[in-house]
Amino acid sequence: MKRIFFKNLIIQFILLLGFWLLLSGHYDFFHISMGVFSSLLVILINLRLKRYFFYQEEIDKTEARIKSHFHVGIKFFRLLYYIPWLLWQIVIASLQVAYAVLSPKMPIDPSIILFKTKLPCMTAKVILGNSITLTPGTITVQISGDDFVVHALMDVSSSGILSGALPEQVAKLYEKKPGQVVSNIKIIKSKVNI
Amino acid sequence: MHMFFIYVSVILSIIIFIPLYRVVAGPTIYDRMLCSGSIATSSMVLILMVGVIFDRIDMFIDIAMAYSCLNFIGVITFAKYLGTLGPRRKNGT
Amino acid sequence: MELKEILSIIFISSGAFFMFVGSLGLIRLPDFYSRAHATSKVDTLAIILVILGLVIYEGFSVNSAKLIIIITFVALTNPTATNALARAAYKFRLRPWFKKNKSKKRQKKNELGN
Repeated sequence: MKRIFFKNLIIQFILLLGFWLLLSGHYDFFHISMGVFSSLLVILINLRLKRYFFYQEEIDKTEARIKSHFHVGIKFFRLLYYIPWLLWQIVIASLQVAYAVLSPKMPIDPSIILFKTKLPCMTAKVILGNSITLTPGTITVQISGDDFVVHALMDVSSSGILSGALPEQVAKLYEKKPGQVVSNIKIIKSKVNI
Repeated sequence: MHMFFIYVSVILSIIIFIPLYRVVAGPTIYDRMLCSGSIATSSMVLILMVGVIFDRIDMFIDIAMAYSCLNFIGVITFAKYLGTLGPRRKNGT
Repeated sequence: MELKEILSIIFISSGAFFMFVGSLGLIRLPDFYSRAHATSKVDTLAIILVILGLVIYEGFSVNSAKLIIIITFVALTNPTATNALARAAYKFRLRPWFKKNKSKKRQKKNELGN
């Protein structure tokens, strides 16, 4: 069983109530009290879900945190730099795919890349997976443990994985000076190896 | 401006028919699911356009939100089910 | 025509163009993984552009806040759905398409050179 922190419940309640207030256009006493009631009901239903462990890794991390009182948190200040950078990457990626689709010769050269990362927690992996899908030339195919499987559409060297630029950006959301994030890169370009 | 939205929605409703070819003739089930997801995203935009044309965008935004939620849940459910199939055998697909 | 309307026309028509490119990519590209590239990136950008155009047209109101919530929702869920489908296909061992002649010749040349 996981411990439930009271602070997290209050943050969740405020977010749900804000969402309710945005969706219902009426701001009198009756509607707001209905909003409070329904967001409390949602929290009550989801209480069992918050106690459930989804990954073995999470159990180890919780035990380690209780022992050492060390908390790995995301930096919101860094996020303000990260999101516009990601939006710009989406524009570049779409222009690249548009060029590949619209040109009559179709200059594509697919390959599959396997690599290993060193990231502090599960949320960082989710952020990295979604960012790989949105940045130019690559989509995430599978994440299992620390191993990533990535499919690249165009030439591999154009994507930011070989140089380690993108995983470093994600690691900088958590630590100030990350070390070597990407290792064991393997590129597959023929059918035999799969 | 009103005419512009009508033109855009006509163009979008023509664009929706292009991925329908893959839904009918796709070689694997994954292609069909991917293209039906793409159709759902395009039609979400079409719903927003219709909302602007009828001047009732406050109502149509809620419909578009629910539609995108349903699209996401449908694709995830299908992927979860298809993930249980296990590796392919030599003869059949 | 005000500046607001011109900006929203530019955003919405470029979004419609990217939606067309995404749909065309679904037909032209050779295999499932390449099609996933088209639908994940290009469709996300198309929806962001169209909804930003609508936000500019609406101005500062409750509707714009709802539209921005739709943007964040779609930008978070569209790559996730694509990743889920690609993961199912990879577990099924669906083989990706590779470029045939040139890469083999290059590999042989490299092997001979080494």
